[in-house]
Amino acid sequence: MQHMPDKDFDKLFKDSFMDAEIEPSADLWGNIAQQLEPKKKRSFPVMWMAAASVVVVASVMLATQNNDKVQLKGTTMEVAAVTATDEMRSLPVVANDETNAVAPEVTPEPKVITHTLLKREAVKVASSPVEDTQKNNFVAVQPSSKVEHLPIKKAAAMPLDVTPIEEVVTNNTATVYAAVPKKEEYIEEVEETNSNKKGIRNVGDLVNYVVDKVDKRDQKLIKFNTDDDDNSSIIGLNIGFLKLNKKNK
Amino acid sequence: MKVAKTYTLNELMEGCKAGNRQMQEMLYRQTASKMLAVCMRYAKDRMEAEDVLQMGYVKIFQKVKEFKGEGSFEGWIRRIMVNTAIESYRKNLRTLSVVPIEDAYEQPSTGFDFGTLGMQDLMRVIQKLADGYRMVFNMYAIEGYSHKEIAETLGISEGASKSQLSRARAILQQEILKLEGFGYATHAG
Repeated sequence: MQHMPDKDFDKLFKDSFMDAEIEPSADLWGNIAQQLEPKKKRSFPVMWMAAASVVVVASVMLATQNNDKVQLKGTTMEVAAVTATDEMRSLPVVANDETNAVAPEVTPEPKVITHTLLKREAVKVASSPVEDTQKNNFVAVQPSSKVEHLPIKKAAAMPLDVTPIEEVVTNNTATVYAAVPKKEEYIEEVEETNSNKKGIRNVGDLVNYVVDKVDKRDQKLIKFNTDDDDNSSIIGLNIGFLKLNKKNK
Repeated sequence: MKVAKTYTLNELMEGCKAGNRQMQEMLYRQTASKMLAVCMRYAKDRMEAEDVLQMGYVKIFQKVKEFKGEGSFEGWIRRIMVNTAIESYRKNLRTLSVVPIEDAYEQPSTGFDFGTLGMQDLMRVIQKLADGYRMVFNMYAIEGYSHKEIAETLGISEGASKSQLSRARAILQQEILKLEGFGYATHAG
């Protein structure tokens, strides 16, 4: 029963615990190993994130493109209206052969623009029937005040010059093309999201699938495409892909 | 484990740095029982201790690449285990049950015949301490933290650390006396 200073008291505990060993439960390593596993499982969420971000970016790109198309449509319509008015103005003057010669020269310039614009979307929409699109176009176009000029233009233009009319018609179909693709693109977006929700076990395939669709439309997304090709096989590249998406966002 | 060869801790460390699952398991098998003894000191019971042990090993395998070879690998493992235990305590800070259930009066320490007391007994006594006391006593008496370090780590004042340490000692002595069968009657209510 000697007096024991605190230091010694502490030391007795310390020494006693120095080499203490207590066998843990048998299943504890299994738990730890399981907790270490998720690194591999986490790759799936990453893949999912990649796929989701692809869809998001694609939709954003498409949305911006749609806006452009709406503007294009507006410009084309305006151009058509302008051409029509020009022709209308030119028509009374038609008496002079010189003005006739001038009129065709004026119209081609806007046509060139519209054609180039059309080429982009005409390729995409190739499958859509022309007649229906024309009908739709008229239906859609009628409410706007500018559109009303078109039938008038036709009626007025028909008797005067045959060739300019045909060209104007092509312009109209062109505007039709521009209008229709918008709808189809929305539909395809829905399809993409649906496919994501439904049958996704091979995420790599999904990403490729989504990206392929995206690539058809936007050349800007080709950057993603190259990444995706790598991604389809390898997980690590998805992270880089994600970064790219973030930058784009 | 099929391989008869036994690895040194340093070899296992290299294997763990490489992310080798087998080496990780072997490191665990070699060190877990010691580390559980560490965790037990900080925990209320075995279940809590094994939770800490599990968290600690996951952390060890995640951070092993950061081990630069300063000091022994086992010391490093032990330090992570202690930190994990303290972290766990701070997260769970159970209603600041610093005030012990039975008040202990400081008495002149008497000598103990520790020979009759096994490590298990001491463990039981430590685990009976209120959480705050157990933390301070472990950190100071066994791990060798200073009161300043304890105060910073636990978010208490140095004075509180000191007073809790001396109270912890007093309670431990009481309990040990009981265990030793002195039947030392205290004022414990």
